[in-house]
Parts: sequence; structure tokens; C-alpha cells
Amino acid sequence: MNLRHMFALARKEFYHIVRDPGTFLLVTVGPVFLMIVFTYMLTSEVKNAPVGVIDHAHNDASAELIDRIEADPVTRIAAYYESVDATDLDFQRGDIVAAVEIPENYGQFSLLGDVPTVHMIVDGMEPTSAEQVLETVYTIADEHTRDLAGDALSGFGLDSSLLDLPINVETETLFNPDLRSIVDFYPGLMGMMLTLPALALALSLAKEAENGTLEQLVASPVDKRALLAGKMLPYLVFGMIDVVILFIMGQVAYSVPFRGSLLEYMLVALLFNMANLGLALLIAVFVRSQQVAIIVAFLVFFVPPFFLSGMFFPADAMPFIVQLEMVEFPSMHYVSLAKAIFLQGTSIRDLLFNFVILAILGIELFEIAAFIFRKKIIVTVPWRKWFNRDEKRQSLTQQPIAQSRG
Amino acid sequence: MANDTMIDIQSVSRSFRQTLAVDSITLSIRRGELFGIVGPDGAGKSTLLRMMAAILNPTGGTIAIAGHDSVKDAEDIKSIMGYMPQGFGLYTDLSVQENLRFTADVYGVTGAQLEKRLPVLYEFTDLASFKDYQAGKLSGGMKKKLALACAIIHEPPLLLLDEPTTGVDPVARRGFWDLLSGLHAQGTTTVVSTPYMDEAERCNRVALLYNGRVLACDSPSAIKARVPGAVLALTSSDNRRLAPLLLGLSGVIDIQTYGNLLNIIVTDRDTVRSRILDLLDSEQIDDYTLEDAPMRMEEAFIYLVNHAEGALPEEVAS
Repeated sequence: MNLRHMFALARKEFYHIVRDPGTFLLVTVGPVFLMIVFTYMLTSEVKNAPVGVIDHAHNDASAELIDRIEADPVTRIAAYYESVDATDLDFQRGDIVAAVEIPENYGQFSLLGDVPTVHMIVDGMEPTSAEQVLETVYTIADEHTRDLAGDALSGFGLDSSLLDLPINVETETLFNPDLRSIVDFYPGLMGMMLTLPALALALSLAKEAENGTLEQLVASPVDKRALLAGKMLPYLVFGMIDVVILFIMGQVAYSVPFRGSLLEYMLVALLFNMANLGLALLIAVFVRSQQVAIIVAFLVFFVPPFFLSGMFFPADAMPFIVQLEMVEFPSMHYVSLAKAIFLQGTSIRDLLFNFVILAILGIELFEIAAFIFRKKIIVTVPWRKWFNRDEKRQSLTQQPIAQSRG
Repeated sequence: MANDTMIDIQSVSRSFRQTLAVDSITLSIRRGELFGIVGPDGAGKSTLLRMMAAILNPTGGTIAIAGHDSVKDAEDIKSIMGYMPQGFGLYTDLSVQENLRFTADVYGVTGAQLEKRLPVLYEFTDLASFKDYQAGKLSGGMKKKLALACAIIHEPPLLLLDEPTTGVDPVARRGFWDLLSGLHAQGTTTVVSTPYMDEAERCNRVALLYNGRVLACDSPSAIKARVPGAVLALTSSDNRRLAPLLLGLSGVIDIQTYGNLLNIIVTDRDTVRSRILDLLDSEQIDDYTLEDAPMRMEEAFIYLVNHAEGALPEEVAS
């Protein structure tokens, strides 16, 4: 590879990046901004959800329950009602997302085993907040009931610990909407953000084809591998800068633990960046316009990492053929390695398969792109010309269009 | 192949899907020639030049540039040639100097060699005072000059220019051609395509391209000599009515209209001139001028197109 050519191309590409505000933002602020949006989206914490109360008991126990609901950060009491029917209008307006109906006998225990039942009505149109409010009120009511029962037993002179075994209910969190999920996703999400420099690279090459500067380049004696490597190099540098920024952001703003070796993680990130950029070159070698580049890049860079890389949905649960297919995508290996290094402190040695595949992809994708790339121009014949041709032929043979199709 | 041949084109064709852009062209361009490829839009000029520049492979025939095959030895050709594509092939966000230095790196012009070369190019193209301008902010004519400076940065023996003066004002066009004449004087083989017939007059030889075929390939004077007869220039108050009547006269080959001027191509100057005078007389037109006019490339080209052998199909049948 001609190094002078490579550095000439790299310098030129660096000028392009820093002189075009759009590209510059895409490779610097873009990943950080996208990360903030994603993490915000994933921490959809419900706070102060408005809850209505229908209190039939009007006793100390019900007042205590209402106080506890009000005190919980998830819920707040928005209104009081006389009956369940009275809540309809406020539900429709969205003024409340849930209503709690406290029965007349709340706080009274019957020796016959008659347990007072608290009713919950939730707005199914707001599934996220409904589920959390339901869970929160359930927990509050359950604890309160146990406290009351304990007090009652003490009143009989019995040890309240007797109660623990039969009624104790462990509340299970169905999904984890608190900050812990961000910690789980963060290392994988970092990889997603690193596809932005790759997108910028694919766009840059497509732009050269559109503007005709590629024609000038392929007519020069420039070494084609140096041409592609030179174009790629500045994006690799910006990609690694992004890694450092996102890493620091994770430590400082999201308290993401890092238990592995920093050197190993940087190596993984470097290989992943190279693989991504190689994939971008491969796309750009085939397409000749920026619009097509964006569409193809979206399909390749955003869809597989999101749904198939095991970042959100476990990869083991996918059909074998999909797992096989995902071996070719660098993001899958990156997610496995990054999660393990960040959260478990695993060494690369224990995930050698993923690491080796990632290393192969990092080098091979570039080589494939360089192998396919030809220093020739691709002349695209507009389709319109095609259609006009056919029309011409039809008019020559004087056949009506419908007939000629049949 | 003779040693003084720079470009040897043997029955070269190029089709895009079923459209035949270049139809078995055979041409030979000598070293040191200023060669023009002249033709209207869509004649196949760019396709032919791109094949010469080894960035487009022919679908039939062979091209040899200084003995290098354009398909097998494409990279050898690229280092001995300077190429200017039709559009602006340089980077609009880079300055004049940055563009030149980038091109120099790509062509391996470095160090002291480059520092000696740059002032020469600035001087030659008059771009010295614009060297820190962004290329995109230059005028059309200056962009072309910059592109030329980049194309000759490595002093190539061969220069391929695809419509270098399209979209450039007449003064800048003239200036650009003066540069080309200068390069030609230094011995650079130059192939230039153009849709402008007046530019063709400045070439040693021209190939007239039409529908992918060479109608004629000769020196401009020889091509003009192919048109039989002479040209008479007529101005009158009623050209519009006269034109079809004149065409009906025997001995009138062709008429071309330029505003209120009619260029009449005639077989025999004296006999047809008297017939025209008779016609003007019978049509009672007195305020006219009828003078001898030189044959121009434009007349010659249109004559050759109209009298080309047989019909030239636009596309080949599938």
C-alpha cells in the first residue's frame, strides 16, 4: 500500500470532515447526543402518576393507606371519588391513570378468613405507567395489610413473626426500568453510536461519486487500497475519540461499572470501528448516491445491532439460522465482548471466539471492499431512457400498450 | 504500430445496456498533436475520452496509449496522462493550493520538485493571487484553469480534456485555449473534446463525432474542403420567406440561418449566384447584401451530418 497516497487522502478527508459542519457534528456530537436520547428513552421512570381514591372505609387504616400512596415517589393522590363510576370522566380526560377502591371493611380482620379486597382500576392505554402504578400500589397495600395483621396479632399477645411465612409475598419486577438497565445496555449502546462515523464514511464516498471527484481520482495513479484506507483513517480516529468520550460519559454520568481491562476494551473498540468502517466501504463501493447509501446503511447498521445483536433481546433465544447470520455482523461480537468486559470483568481470552471473529471482520471487510472496488467509473443509464425506448418501439410497431403486454 | 503514435484506437465500441454510445471507432493520434473530438451532445465524446483515460472499458475493440493496453495496463496509462473530466473533478471545500498539493501527492510530485513546479503553474494559470481561495468560490473559468493546472502537475506527455470550456464565458474560453496552445508548443499530446465548432479550428486535426461514429477525421481545412462549392452570405429583410425558395434552386446544397444572415452552400459560386440574384429580383427584394463567405467548421459539420451515408440509427436493435 502506498503510504504517501494514504496520508494524502486522509489529510484531504480530514479537511472535508472539519469543514462541513454536518459531517463534523455527525462524527463528534452525534454519538453523544444519540446516547443521551437512548438512555433517556430506556429510563422511562414513572414519577408522581396521578391516582384517584374511592374510600368506602373512612377509618384510620384507610387514611394510613392513602398517606402511604401519596408518599410514594411513583404515585400521588390526584382526587377523591364517591364511587367507581365517578372516575370515568377523569380517566377519559387523562387526569388520573389509576383508581384505588378501598372497601368498607378495610383494616378489619375476620377470623373466618374474610380478607378485605382493595380494587385497582388502571388505564390500559398507558401500559407503562399503568403497570408501574399497579405494582406500586400492590406493594404498598400488601405491606400495610401485613403491618395491620402484625399489630392485630400483637394485640392477641402473639408474636407477629408468626405471620411471615404464610402471607409474605415477594414482589417480582417484571422489567427493570430503573438505572440498572442503563448499566446493562450502556456498553452495547456505545457500539450502536459508533455506527455514526461509519455512516459518515459511506456518505462521503457516495458524495465523491455524485460530485464527479471520484472520476478524477480513479483516473489518477492513486493506489486503490491507499485510496480506501486513506478515506477511512480520519473516521477511525474520530470513532476512537467517540469511544473515549462515551466511556468517560458512562463513568461520570451513568455510573457504569468497568470491571475489565481498559486496554482490552480499547482493542475491541478499535477492531469494531474497523469492521464498521469496512462495512461502510463495502456499501459505498456498490452504491453511487447518498440517498441509497443512507437507506442501505440504515438496514445494515441499525436494524441488526438493535434487534439481533443480543443487546435488548437474548441472542440465544433466536432461531439458529438467525444466529448463524449474525456471526457476520460485527455488532453481535462487539456487544458480547463489551458487556462481558464492562460488567463481568471477563478477559478476551474467555471470549476468544467473538474476539477472533471481530478481528477477522475488522480486517477482512476492508479487504473485500478493496478487492471489489475498481478504478473505473460506473455510468448509470437512467431508467427513464429505458421506458422511452420501449414506448418508441411500441409506437413503431403500432401496437396498443395493453395488447403488447398481453 | 508506428513509434510516433500516442493513441491507437482500433474499432472500439461501448454500449450501455442496449444503447450504443460509441460505434466501432478507429482513430490514430500522433505524438505532439492537438487533437479535437468534435460533436454535439450525446455524440459519444465523453464515452470515448473515458475509454482513452482507462476508466471505462470498451465493450469491443482495443485502445493502446503509448503502447499500453487500456484494459490490461490501465494503471500505466493513468500515470502518464493528465485527465480533466467534464464536470469539476476537484474538491470545492479545499483551497486552490490544497487541491494542487493533494494532486501532487497522488501523482508523486514531491519535495523540491513540487516547490519548483507550483510557481510555474501559478504563473501559467494566473492563479497565484487566488491560492488560498476555496476552489468552490472560483469563477467557472478559473475552476477550469485550476483543473488544468492539476492535470498537468506531473508534466504528463498526454493530456485528455473532456469539454474543458463548456459553461465558460468567451473571454475565459479564449484564455483557456491560449494555455492549451502553450502546452501544445511544449510538445504535450492533447486530446480535447468540444461541442464548439470554432474551437475545432484551433486543432491540428479533428474527428467529427456523430451518433457514436466518426463522420470525418482530418485537419480542419481538409474537412472544410470536403464540402463541395462555396458559401454565400445573404442578408435581406425577408429571409424567412426566401429560405425555402432558395433551397428549391438547383445548385443550392444547404442553407444555415444565423439571425438575419443566411449562409447558402452552393455547388458553383458564379452560376448559382446569378440564380439567386434572379430569385431576389423576381421576389422584388432590393434591400439585400450578397457576399462571399468563408467556409466554417460549423457549415462543414452540418453539411457532413446531413449528407452522411445512409441513416444513422440512434440505438442498435436488441
